[in-house]
Amino acid sequence: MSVEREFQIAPIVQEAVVHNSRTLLNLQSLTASLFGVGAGILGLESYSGFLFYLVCSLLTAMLFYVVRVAPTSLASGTGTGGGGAFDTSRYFRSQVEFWTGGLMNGLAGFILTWTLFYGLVRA
Amino acid sequence: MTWISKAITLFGAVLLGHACYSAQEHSALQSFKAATATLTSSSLAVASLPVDIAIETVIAIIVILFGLVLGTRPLRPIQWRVWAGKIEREGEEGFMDNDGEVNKDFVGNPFKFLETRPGFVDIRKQRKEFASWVKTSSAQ
Amino acid sequence: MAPSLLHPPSQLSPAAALELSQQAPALLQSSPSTVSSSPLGAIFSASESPELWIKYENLLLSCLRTGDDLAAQQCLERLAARFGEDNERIMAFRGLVKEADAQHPGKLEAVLKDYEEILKENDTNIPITKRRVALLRSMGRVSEAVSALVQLLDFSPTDAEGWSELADLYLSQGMYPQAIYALEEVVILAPNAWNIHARLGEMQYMAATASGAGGSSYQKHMAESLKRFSRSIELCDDYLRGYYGLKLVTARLLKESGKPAKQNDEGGLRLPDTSTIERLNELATAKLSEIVRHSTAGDRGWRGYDEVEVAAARELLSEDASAASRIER
Repeated sequence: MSVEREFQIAPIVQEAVVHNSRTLLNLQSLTASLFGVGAGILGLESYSGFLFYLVCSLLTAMLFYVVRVAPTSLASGTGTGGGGAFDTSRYFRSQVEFWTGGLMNGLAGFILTWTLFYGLVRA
Repeated sequence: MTWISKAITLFGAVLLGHACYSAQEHSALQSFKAATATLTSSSLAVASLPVDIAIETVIAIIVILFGLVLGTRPLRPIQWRVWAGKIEREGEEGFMDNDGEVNKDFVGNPFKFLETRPGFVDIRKQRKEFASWVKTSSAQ
Repeated sequence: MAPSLLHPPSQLSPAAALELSQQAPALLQSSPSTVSSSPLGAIFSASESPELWIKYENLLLSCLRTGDDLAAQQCLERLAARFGEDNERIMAFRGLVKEADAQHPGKLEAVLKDYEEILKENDTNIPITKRRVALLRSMGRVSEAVSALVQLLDFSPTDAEGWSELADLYLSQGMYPQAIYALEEVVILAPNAWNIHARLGEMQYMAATASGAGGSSYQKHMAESLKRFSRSIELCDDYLRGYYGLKLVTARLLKESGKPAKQNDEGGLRLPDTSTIERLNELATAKLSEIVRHSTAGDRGWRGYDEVEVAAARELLSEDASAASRIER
């Protein structure tokens, strides 16, 4: 009830939410296949490959934050959260979605290109 | 702006392609060596990837990643007041794409039509106003 | 920056309208004269995009305004060739062209009769109904326009544009309560429209000033106005118009606060106490001077404001400053 009321007072712009998450999703699916190529060339196997993917996804999120989110958020004194650094509330509804959403979105693409390039290089 | 990101991505792609080719050649050489080694019956383990290829791969990935992130479209604020304030304060400038053109689906204040009311436009009055404007501006 | 043809041109300045209509020959030449609507024809002829039709519509309006009737006619023919003569929007545009052509009142009467003929056949034709209202208003027959518009809103009560026009019609007649009611309907339909909230605040302020300081409804209108302006700046950061109104209202309230204000509780809305109003006034002054400063300097990210509005805000601020210095002396 109180959440609903909050949205009445301070509404959310749906088109902007869609635009932002689509931008992020595009980047994540592109980069996930890129990481697959890298992991295949490096010849990573089992856990080390997934660890590579995890690290790279976090790096993507970090870079995206630095390039697109941080400059405007910090200049305007952040959105509502006032969480200082690493606050994405100006552009994204949930922090978790921003930082870890890419893991699930890109996993299939990652495995596809990983196995493909592993096979190509080692065959 | 876009050409920078495209150039960086392209450079990274060339690096990655080179790394990929090197790794493939390396493994081919290894398997050839292994095959000859078994003939001469001396044990030679398949060496892992040379460190320079590994470094090239990692650098290529980081370069491409950087290029792709630079090439993403600017985000839009999701809170209504921030978004509306951006429209009012920055106008079209706030909604440019990377290549410096105003976004196609940018409409300014979406509620502007409630005040301008295009369906009820009084065309005769507008014509008169325009004619008098032409007169005054040509008189000056 | 040149105005875009993708946005409706009705609020543009004459110079901008002229600039738009001068693009007409180029656009008309560069795009194909007929676009087939059948799927088979679409393979052979040029492809169409929704933007093209929006451009034609806006070009039509601009050309009519600047008196370039030939180009307007061409736009209309192309639109009609694509969407058919019996499309409601096209019918309305055709009427618009006729209205613009009409030289003497007799011709206008004929156009009006045409509209009524169309409506007799199909009385749910909303664009034509709107044209009829606009024409009646343009001919000075306001009461007929109001009744026609009320009829339209009777069968289409979710037409925010119609409610807004009704509010404007009532306002032009000085019927403030009715105008406020109509605009409140718009707010219900578009609860986040910050400009409508500001407009409502302006209307309440006008109603308050018209009824005079002694009137019983004065307090109510002022409180409503204060509330509406506050909501508009709550919905939109750095909203020049909202802050301007807020400053106007609070300044007026503060000037009168010396007098014993009798609060009537029946309205349900009470004015906040003086300290709150003072704080709001200070906030509005600070924000306005910030906007004026940045906008005058042409800082990056502050260029979206209308120059006329900024000039008005500057005037209000300097007026306020001179009044303050007079009191100090």
